[in-house]
Amino acid sequence: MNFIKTTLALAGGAAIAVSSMSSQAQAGVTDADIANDSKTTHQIVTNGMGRKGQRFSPLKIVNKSNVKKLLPVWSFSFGGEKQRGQESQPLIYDGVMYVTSSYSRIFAVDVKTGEELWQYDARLPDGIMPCCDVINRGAALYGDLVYFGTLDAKLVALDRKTGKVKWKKKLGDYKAGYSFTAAPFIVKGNVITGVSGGEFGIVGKVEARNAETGELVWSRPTIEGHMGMLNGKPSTMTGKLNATWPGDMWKSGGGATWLGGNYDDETDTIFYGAGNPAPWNSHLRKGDNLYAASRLAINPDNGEIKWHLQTTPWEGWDYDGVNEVVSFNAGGKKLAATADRNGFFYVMDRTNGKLQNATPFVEQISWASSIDVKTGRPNFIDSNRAGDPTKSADGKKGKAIFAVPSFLGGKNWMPMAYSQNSGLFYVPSNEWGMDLWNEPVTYKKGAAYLGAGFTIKPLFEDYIGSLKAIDPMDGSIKWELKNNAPLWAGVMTTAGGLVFTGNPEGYFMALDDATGKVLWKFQTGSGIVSQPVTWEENGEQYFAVVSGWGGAVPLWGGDVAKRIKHLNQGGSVWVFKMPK
Amino acid sequence: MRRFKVFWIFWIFFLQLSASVTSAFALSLDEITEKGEIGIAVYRDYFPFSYRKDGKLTGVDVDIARYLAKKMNLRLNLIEQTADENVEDDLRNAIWKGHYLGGQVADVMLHVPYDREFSLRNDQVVFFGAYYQERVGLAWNPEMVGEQATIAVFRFDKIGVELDTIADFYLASALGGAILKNVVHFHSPRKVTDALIAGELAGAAGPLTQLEAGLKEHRDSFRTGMVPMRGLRSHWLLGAAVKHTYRQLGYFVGDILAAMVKDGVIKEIFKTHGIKYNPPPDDLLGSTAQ
Repeated sequence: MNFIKTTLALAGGAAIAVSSMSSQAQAGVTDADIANDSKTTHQIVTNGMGRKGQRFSPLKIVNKSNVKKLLPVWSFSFGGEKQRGQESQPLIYDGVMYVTSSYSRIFAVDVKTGEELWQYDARLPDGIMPCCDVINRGAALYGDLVYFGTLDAKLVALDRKTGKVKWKKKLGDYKAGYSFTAAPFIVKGNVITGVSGGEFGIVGKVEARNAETGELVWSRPTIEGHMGMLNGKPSTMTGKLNATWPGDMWKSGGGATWLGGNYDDETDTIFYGAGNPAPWNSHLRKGDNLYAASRLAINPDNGEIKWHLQTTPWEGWDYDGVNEVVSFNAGGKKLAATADRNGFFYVMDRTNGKLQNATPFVEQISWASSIDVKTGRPNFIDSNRAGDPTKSADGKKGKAIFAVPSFLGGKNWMPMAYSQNSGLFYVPSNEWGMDLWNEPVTYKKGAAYLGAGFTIKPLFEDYIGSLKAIDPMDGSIKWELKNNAPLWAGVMTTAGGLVFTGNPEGYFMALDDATGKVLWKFQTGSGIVSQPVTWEENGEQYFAVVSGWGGAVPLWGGDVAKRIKHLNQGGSVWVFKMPK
Repeated sequence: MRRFKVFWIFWIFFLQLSASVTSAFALSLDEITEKGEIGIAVYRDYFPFSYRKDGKLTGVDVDIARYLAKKMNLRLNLIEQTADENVEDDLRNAIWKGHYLGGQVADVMLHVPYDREFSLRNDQVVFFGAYYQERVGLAWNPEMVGEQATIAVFRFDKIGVELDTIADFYLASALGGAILKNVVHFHSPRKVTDALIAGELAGAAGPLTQLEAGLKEHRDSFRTGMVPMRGLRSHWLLGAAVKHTYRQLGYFVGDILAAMVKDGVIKEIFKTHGIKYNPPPDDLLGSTAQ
């Protein structure tokens, strides 16, 4: 049976004439498997349930009328003393679930029984200092290898059957603050990664490595002035030196690529986002600071930037530009959408990056009045930028501004979903702002420093989290589901007219995709901050979600802490189906 | 029998609890004395205070920690602490809570600011034992910019600085931004002085201890001085801290540090690392910041 499946998959691969790297694809996950992942329902071999990242399943065995029958099949504990945030998306292939967990661990679990097949724990060195919890967001599969990133910035390729290390490559120096927690992905025989890193000194990059050997094929830094690499030689410079950065500030300009990217085969483009520019004080780096806080469209063959959309030029609020770009086709156009940390939902032509519309998806945005659709630039509200700290000459606390969204964003890392059934995007968002002021009495590594003080504040008494259904054609919000705690989980949607997500309170939920009504929910025992999936086996539709509260939210205090301090940590996978 | 079993379970639970308490939290003075060992946290990779030279941990703070342990007749457990985003985080990671990735919690942390306003914001720790005053200054090459150089010369000549430090903030805003184009950024203070010695820079800005220690045997070929940093803090005091429940330990260590300052021990330690010592004001010795 397995042989037949493999043969069929190979035939499919040949039919769409995939790359010359097909020596890799003789066993296990093929290029065709990956290319067809959004259409096939018996397996999930990509993060995003299809490389465009729509998180849409054509399955409709479970639908609005029978979803209330869902019951757990098994639950698997990650065990150990280590819990904290669990942000992973499981992959399902050949009867095995591959799921990563906190502290750079990965597990292979028998999908039928929930029994562990193998476990790999990365040995983490002393003294690593990851910025935002010890999470991991998932793995990639290709051939007979499974790939994932570690907190000490290694990309590890394991034999998917045994969990033994095939190769391990350094993506950056953990001592300099680099780490890697996003899900890698496969494009044309290469494994694509970015880097996470401390808040200053590092420069983001997107890289392609030969999936079989781990050898670097190309590297594309995200900040102008830095030289790219292709096949071991310098290729082209990113942007134009000193076009949008003063002095030598570009050398340590930030733009970390800490969230994963994805790939659109119709336009043959990798989409990857770049984080905020460094250092935090925007008055030290006057200019647009390209390509920080931008989405990059990259040629997968050589790492050249085809086009970019900078969502927050001269960024000064910690609005990273890393959020996922999701490709979709509508109105005869090849479009893509992204929901930014800065609170605006952008729809663009994905062949050239030209903006179609940009609309607020959270309330009371304070830093910009709107986005100019012609130029793609925000219309800034100048009084909502933190003042120049060196100008507060009396050494006193500077004037506080209240900026919306907070630095954790209108939407953070948690991926949205696009339904081919409803034509809507389902966007997990949060309604919060921050008091932001210059704090002259701060210290960094034993030395006086000019820091910024901040306190995150909810905008409303009764909720922070808000799952929204957005029509990408005009940005209108069709419905909203409010949640007391901030939402931090990814969303998935199905042809059965359902939207699935989880909340920090621990519920895994199914919603009506047309109304947002909660049709079913199940308490998983700890908060959900992960990415649900669904697949089919023997005519039955299965669902899986990882449970385990953590991530960036509990690390920040302020008024938000009150709403989350009672939430308990955990670490497990739950699998559901309808009883026969 | 059944009752006994329940009791036994509680007993095991209690044992585990107490074991985890002793391993995860810093100890009181009595417990430290009984154990015969003191854990002292210093910054990892922090020239010239605590850094590795040929793999061996050395520096001003390392010498101070060794002296403290010797005076207390205790074994020294030196704990290298990776700097987090700010000192509040470092205090939490090093002495009052521990980092969520694990690692050791120290009894005492060195090289923490001694600053009333800062201590009010950090009520989980007690600050004491100010042992030196740090100052931000300039070092310059007199052959390139003359003996009497001021900050104004760097409108025309290159000046190096460690990225994202108070000296960096100063240079970016000094003289209305007129020297920004000549500012060269480095990731470590030692790279700044190396470039100055190599003639790639005409000057450097930063804490004077770092500039002097970095120049070391080339010290005589360069000049140093203070700069008027309008609105920015150009000097601050450094001392030690313990968790707030270990005041007794703090007093004990504070007395030794005060004596080290008075008796010239600290000055001697600075001298062996090639740095001129700048003591804290007399009236501060032996007091706590609150």
